[in-house]
Amino acid sequence: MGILTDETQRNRLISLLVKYCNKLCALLYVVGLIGFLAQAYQPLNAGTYFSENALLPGLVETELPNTLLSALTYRSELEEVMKKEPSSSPNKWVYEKFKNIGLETYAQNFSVIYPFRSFNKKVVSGENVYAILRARRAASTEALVLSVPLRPLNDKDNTGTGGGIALALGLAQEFKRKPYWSKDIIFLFTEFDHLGAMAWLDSYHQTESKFIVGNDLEARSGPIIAALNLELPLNNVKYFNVKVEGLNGQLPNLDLVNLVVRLCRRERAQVRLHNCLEDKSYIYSENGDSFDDYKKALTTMLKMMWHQASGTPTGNHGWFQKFHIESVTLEGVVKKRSYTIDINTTARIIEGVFRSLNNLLERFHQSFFFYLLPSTSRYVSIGMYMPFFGLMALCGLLKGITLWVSANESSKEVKSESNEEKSEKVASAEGQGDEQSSTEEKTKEKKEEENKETAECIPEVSKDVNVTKKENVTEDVVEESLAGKGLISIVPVMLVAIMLGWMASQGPELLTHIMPNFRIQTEDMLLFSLLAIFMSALAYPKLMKNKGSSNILSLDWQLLKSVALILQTLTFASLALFNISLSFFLTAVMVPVTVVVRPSANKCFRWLQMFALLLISPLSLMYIVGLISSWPKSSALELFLSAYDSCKLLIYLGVTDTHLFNAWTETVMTACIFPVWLLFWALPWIDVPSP
Amino acid sequence: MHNNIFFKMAASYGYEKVNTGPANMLYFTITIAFLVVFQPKDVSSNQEKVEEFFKSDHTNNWAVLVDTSRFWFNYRHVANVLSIYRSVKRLGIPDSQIILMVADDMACNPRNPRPATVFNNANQHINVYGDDVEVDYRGYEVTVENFIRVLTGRLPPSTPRSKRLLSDERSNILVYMTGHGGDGFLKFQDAEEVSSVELADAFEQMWQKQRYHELFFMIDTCQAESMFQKFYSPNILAVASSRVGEDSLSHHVDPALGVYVIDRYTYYALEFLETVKPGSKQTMSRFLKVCPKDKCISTVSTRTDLFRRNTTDTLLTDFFGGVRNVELLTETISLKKKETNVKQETCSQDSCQKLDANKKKFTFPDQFPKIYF
Repeated sequence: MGILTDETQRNRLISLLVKYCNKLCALLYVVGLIGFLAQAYQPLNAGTYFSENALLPGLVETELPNTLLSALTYRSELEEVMKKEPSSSPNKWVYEKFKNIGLETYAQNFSVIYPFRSFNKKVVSGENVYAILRARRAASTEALVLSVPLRPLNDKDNTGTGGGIALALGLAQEFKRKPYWSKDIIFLFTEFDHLGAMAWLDSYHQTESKFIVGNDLEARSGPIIAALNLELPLNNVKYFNVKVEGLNGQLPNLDLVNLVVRLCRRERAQVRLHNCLEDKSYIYSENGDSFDDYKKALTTMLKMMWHQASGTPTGNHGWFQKFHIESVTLEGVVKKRSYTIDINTTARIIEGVFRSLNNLLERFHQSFFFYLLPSTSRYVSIGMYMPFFGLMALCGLLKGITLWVSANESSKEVKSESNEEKSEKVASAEGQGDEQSSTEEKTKEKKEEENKETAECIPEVSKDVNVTKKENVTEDVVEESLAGKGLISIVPVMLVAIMLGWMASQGPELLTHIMPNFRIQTEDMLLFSLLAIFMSALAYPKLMKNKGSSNILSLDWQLLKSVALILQTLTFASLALFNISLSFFLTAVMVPVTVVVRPSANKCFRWLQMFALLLISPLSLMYIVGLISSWPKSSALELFLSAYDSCKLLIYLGVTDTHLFNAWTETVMTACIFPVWLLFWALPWIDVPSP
Repeated sequence: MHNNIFFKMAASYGYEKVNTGPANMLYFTITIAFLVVFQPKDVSSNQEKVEEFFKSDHTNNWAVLVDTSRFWFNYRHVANVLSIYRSVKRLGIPDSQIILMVADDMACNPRNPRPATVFNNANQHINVYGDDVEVDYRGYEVTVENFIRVLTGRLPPSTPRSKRLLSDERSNILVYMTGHGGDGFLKFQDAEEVSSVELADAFEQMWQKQRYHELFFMIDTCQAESMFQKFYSPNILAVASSRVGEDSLSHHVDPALGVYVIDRYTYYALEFLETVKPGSKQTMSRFLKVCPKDKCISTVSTRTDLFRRNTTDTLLTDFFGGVRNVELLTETISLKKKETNVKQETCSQDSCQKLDANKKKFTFPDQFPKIYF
């Protein structure tokens, strides 16, 4: 007999579970957390390898000249052009140059409509330039993209991309002479970085966006197989960063990342992830298991997860991933007075990447789509990190189930007791009921008869009625207490929580439309409206308490917590399927608090719980993210202020991205995490009789 | 007309006649013609030489060369098969007797930096896809079904002669296969595979249908040995590039192409074949040892238990060449008349009339020859 069918066995298991639940939960959480973070330890993860046979990375020798003179000339020309007009991007110049090379060159105009009504309403319009190199002996059925963002020289926030532009021109000139292309190569230059890229991609795939409107493309090629985005400054660079994180935490196929890394290594160019220097020992096994190596790898992995969790792409490659186009960004980093990689080396790397991609016969599908990178050459696959994440998530689920079981049992006891009482009462009531009915009949008759008679009889009748009334009242009380225990009792709380979540996700935008034109920046507007909703949400247990009779927030806290925990686990588990990093961070922070929190008679404990819950509320998590991202600051005040600013910006970007690019992070936080958190927030407000 | 006369004479000497394919008949007839025309005199002392002359017992050579894999990164397999094609053609098997199956067109692949060529070496000495290549089955025509049908001769009637294996019981056949294999199978294209059992059964059918005299099976793939382990038909000599559990490795990359251009086993086999001339006395035993472990890295495996002759006495050209022995003798040889129980089926004007008298009604021949049942 299996555990599932054997009632006694099952009961024993359940009783064991209930008995050791807390210890088990703690164990699961700790094991899960440690196990997850231990994945960065070298012996526990695996070296990257190529799954796709067709790529044949680095087998082909370069056919570029030793010094790519054309790229150098373009670079110096571009520098002059950009210095002349430092505030505009060199669209015209790029367009002319590609025309001169003899490629099909087109420009695409696009405009971005601001999603919010604001006092400084602006419609941004820009121009993308793209050129198509048609493969001579193939039928334009597939394409590769080399994309470079066009940035003006005086763009303070971003580094220049002049090197990328010059290189693309130089390579286009070389590539054009070659007979071996099996796929068209599209050279794409996008204005305003992601906005231009999104507009072009939308037009290319003929998808429509409400806010980014691009003109129709004059010419296109086949489905895009892969894209490489370049962010190379005009100067020679010290090392490369390979950026992988895309929209909503999507990642490119690991084969493409491997390809870029392998070809950089082949040209002896240093390649890093998020500027993290890595030791050779860590990459090439053997002695990579020291604690120092582990610390470095863990930092790299956490940085990667941090960026993935944000759900915002780290470069222009991220927008391609939305269309199932595998893509990475190669960013060149300049260090003062030290450079190792000149434009020729970079050219060879890119040539190698494109020749390998040219060999592809099918879309990337062989290697991993879900992975974490503790280094450029080692990876943690979904099969390795998921079980540990599962343990952490299971902690909440286990507690939830245990509470459900015990809540059911206690309510059963109550029910059975009350049932006994009830049946007794029903039995007695039946007898009385007969009498009553007979009395009623009698009274009717009597009423008819004695309508005009004396009032002597009336007290007798009213006495009877009083008796039945009393009985009815007692029954009602029993039912009421039962309703307080049942699932129905927590429905109002859940409805309110979901309503508030909906408000948080829709409110800010609605407010910007409804509100009269205050002279407030949209960033502030969004933050304040969210704050308002949050503050009002904080008060909801209090309000619900006061609304009812004196009898407090009378619901089964165990049931509420159990449902909340199950909901929370469900949310995190489904979130983990598309953005493991976000899910991991949320689980790591929220689960310990939410598992522990419970109503308490002890005021001190109650306040402590409320504080902890506040700390893990979505809004304060946002602030903490702001704190971490603006960490090194001279004074504490400065830190808090800049954290406030970056938090504000974060929320603004989150909401904007949701509208412009269909990013999910903001929606997940407001519409999923926030309501679940609100359920927990109600817990400490429930009064329990002090022991 | 002359052919007819010679054939009659040959038949009267008691040699088993050739009843399929005019080309085969031509070879045989010419051989006999030489013998007859030069009327040897000294009979007894040359009897031995004649024995040696007909030692291999085969009268024609065929080759079935198969590349089963497609895609640009499998360039080497196409180069393998085309190199072997080039060698057997050079050694004398004519295009009409070679069935060449190539699963992908590397020469015209847009990724090929040198269009219309296939090289088997980074030095690019020889374009194996040169002027005179007849591919019989190409691209998606290379399927397991077509391959088995070609071997067993069960092709639809509309199939042209050039795509048929018109061998007979006096044919020596070379079967060369290359591609991606595993334990007990060889992958065809990207969709199907032929199993070792299927292949063994196909060869058995060939034997029963008297479609070969001797067969040399050569395969260059991973775990290649597994492909001949299931063979059970007589007169098969087999060599494989690797043992079960071993990978067959490629030889080198052409950096200008960016792909591996040839596999190790085939590379060393070719190196050996290049030294062989049409009249060469190289034996199969030397050919079987062509790629020792330090060169191939995988272990070359052979199977000789089904083969009746000793490999040290078997000429390489028995399988790789199409050249008949021609010796000019000044003496007369009287060839012993062999007893034959095969009915005379050809006739001259005189004898035909006699035959006509007791002419039977024609019926379709049995699928399998009766003599084996």
